Amino acid sequence: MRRLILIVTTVALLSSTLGVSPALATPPTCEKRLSNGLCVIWASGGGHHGGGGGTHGGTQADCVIHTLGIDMRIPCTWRGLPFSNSLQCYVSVANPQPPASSPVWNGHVGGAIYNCRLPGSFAGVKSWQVWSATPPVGPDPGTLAAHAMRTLSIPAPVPGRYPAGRLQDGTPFTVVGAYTWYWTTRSSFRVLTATASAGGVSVQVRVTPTALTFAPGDGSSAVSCGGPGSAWVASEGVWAPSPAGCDFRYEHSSIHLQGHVVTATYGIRWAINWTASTGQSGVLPDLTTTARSTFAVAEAESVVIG
Amino acid sequence: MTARRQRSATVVVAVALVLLVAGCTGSAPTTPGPPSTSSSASTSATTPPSPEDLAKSQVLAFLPTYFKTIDDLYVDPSTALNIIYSVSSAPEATIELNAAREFRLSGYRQTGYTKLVKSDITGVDLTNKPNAKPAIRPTVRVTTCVDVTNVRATDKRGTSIVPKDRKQYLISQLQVVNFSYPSASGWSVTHAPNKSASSCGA
Repeated sequence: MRRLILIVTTVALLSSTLGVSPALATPPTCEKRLSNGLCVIWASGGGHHGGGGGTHGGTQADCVIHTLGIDMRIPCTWRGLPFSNSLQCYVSVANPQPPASSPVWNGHVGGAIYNCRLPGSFAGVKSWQVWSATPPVGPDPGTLAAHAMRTLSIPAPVPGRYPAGRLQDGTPFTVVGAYTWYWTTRSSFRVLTATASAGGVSVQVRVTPTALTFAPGDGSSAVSCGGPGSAWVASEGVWAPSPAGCDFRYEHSSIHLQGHVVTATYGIRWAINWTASTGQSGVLPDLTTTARSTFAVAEAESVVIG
Repeated sequence: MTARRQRSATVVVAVALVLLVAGCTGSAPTTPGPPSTSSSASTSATTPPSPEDLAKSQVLAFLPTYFKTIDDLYVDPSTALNIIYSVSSAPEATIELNAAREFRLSGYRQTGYTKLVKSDITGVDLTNKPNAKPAIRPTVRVTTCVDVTNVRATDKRGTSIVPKDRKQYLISQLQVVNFSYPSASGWSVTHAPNKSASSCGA
């Protein structure tokens, strides 16, 4: 079993510096205990020096430090550094890397040397170095991307439609057989970006609208077009199809439907890509923002064009 | 250096006592009875102990000082931290020093001392190649059992920080190395992992 030497850090310091709270994690084995019962060395079965035992800072559910016989949850980042449960410290890549002749490499050729830090009160405890074949911790770029996403407000479509008159009772309507144009505003259909950083890793997410969808609400399948659609203008004429291809023709009146109307659902489908400063890239699942619009589908001869 | 000299004196006296006691029990030194005048005593006096037996007795005599020195660091905050180097060397000394310093900085207080209950020598290797790379030093391995019943510790507010489930004993696997062999004062603990136990037989 490889040893995880946790050089003692005070409960008081951690509490005041980081705002720790008691943890529910199962404590590892204490390898050295003081006569007063406090533990100063914990043994970890994870084999962290091989790089396989660590959990990634961005994805681990809790950051728990075992010190002085007490398990405590602590913030997963401190001064921008991610916490490694396996190393029991906040880590960063040593820059520059120590020379190959440095004992800290311990004969290893690959991997890297990482700085381990803990909020402590004296230098001997505060910082040390370890070798690891792979990053023992570190913000998972995909998770960072998801975090960046949470900072974004993805707009819903702003429904636009033609024909768009109103019946005598004020109910908006479109016309059976006509090309019902649907569109959204350009401001709601634009590329969005956001960035999140942690532990020296920066991830930019790019959220791109790929389609405007239109579910007619009459039982027909949804249709879509590749852009925000075109807002109707009089010069296009009443019966013309949308030049953007964003239209739908209702075949029947909604007179027999509940409330004599249909509720159409507009949707903007978004593709999400991310790129990290580490050179990694990836995608997050597509998402769709929606808005609804309720109107009547009327026979042409029975309406007054508004 | 004063501490080291004091320990040397302790070791010498203890070794003398151990040599006067017939046989080495492998247990912690106890107060011996009056010197024997029997023929067996005369016989042992004419047979010098082997280097291994001498090393064993030196280490066994050294252990009480080792544990007391550690306790002093916690019980008496005025005790210089570097006194740890009089009984211990890296990496163990570093661990102990950092732990004691952090204990003090946290405002913790300890009362009471450990009591050495049992010491069993588990290995002796007196190979001494100080110029080898890495250097090889005479090493004695010993399993100790101390009773921690009397050791109490509190935080700044006086609240006990002793884990409620602390067991009565600590069993340590000590690696004791002599960095100035054959000097009796050269023994130093370099590793001391331990575990809690409900009895010394655990």
